[in-house]
Amino acid sequence: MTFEILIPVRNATDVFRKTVESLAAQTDKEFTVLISDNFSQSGHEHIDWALSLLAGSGIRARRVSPPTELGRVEHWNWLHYQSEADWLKPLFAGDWLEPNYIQSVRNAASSDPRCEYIYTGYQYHRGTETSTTISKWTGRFFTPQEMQEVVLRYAMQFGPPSAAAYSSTAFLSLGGYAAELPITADSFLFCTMAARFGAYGVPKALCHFNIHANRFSTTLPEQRLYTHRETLTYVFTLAYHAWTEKDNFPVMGYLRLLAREYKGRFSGR
Amino acid sequence: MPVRNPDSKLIESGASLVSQTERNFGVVLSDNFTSKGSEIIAQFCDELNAAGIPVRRVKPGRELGRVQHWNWAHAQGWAEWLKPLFVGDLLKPEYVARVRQRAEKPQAHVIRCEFETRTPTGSSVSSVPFRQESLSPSEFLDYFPGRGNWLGGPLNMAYRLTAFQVTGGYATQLPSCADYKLHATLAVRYGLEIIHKNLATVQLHERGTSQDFRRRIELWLIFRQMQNFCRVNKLPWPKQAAHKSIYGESGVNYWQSS
Repeated sequence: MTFEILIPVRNATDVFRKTVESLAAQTDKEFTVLISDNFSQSGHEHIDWALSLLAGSGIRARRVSPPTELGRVEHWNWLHYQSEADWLKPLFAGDWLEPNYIQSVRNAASSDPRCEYIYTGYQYHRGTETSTTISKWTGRFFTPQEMQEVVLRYAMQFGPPSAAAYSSTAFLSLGGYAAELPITADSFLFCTMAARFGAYGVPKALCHFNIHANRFSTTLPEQRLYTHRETLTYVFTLAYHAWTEKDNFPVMGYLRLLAREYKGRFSGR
Repeated sequence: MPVRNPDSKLIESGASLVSQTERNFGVVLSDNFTSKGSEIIAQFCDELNAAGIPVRRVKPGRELGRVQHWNWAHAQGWAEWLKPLFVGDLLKPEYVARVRQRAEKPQAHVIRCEFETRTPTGSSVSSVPFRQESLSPSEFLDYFPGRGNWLGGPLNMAYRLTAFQVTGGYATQLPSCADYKLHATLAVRYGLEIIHKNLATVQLHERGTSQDFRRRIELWLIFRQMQNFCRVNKLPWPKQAAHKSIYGESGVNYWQSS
């Protein structure tokens, strides 16, 4: 099983170094790294340094760049299509992984042949504030039917992209992140993956989600209104698909989810 | 070309490729676990290879859903431009030449041509409600979605590989209108090149009237997403026209005479 870490970068800053150091420190080094630079105007020295550090650690890494400057989510998609690995793992500049991340994900992937999407717990960092989140649905492979019910009741329960790894086939067959929903593109994709292919949750916080100064984040107050609006759009879409597939539909749970999102949307106005 | 259990119409599609006046193209045929019709696929490949058109056969690692398979097949394409072609679709002999000519324009990312729809009861040729040969994203919104589904289907569209990759592919959650969403999203992102000539034929066998309700729901979901795209990219989303398109007479209808 080949495994590639995908890092989209634009104007990298010092926080990128911690990301790369966490890769060099992995106990399992059987993976490669693909760094995509989306027309950076600064921070090239951080990418050069990263490639050098990884090569020195025995990890194959390469740099690519899209043919034209892309939007943020578009860049994520483009980068995924550049990989030829069996498994893909997005990692954003500023986030970092625990040393046993790759080993744990590899173990999870080999634990069940149905496994195509793996997420881990994560630690959230914003300034001095930290908190740990571990999903309730961990420790084994959860079938698409089980996950369908989870996403229709609670929507996103799987953490940020830096907590995710998935098979190349899973990503390519779903087409990628929805560029029309730039705030919730990751939530939409992960909910779709979980509901279509099932998911394996690793019950440990193996990734660090870092809200640093240059980061776009859906948790920022100015994004909340649009976050709720986009969330409503994708949960409508997930529900429609469940209905067309004649899957079991948790009606009351779904209505409660809609009520929560509508309440958030109108209170955020 | 995504295929699954193809019938002899695959050979007709192959013949339309062999008839192209411009032969500088390749074919990727993706077989989604066919259980019957393998001999037809073999015949198709032989005929194209004999005509000097290289065919690469690929197969996903496991059986995929219909729209999932389209996405996966696109990901196997390495060329600068991609053109989906389904079993039974036919291209006129000058299709590739005309598209290649237009693709030389640096700003061209998505190219649409006119096409003929054949049904058991007759045929009609599409036409667009304007005369321009190129539309910018905001010009596209002058005619979409208010003027109905003049975009067409995968048959009459070709696009740059990078455009497909960055957009997020066909929406697997919207099986009735996955192509409509992709084409509209591509056009609102990159603009549209139009060839005002009938260069393709789609052959339909049964009318899916029971799907009309689903199509309207999918349209509503698509427009919600496109409206958000327009908000983020500061494009003028025509809200009233979108409502009219869903609830009025101009919903997605491939059977509508043009």
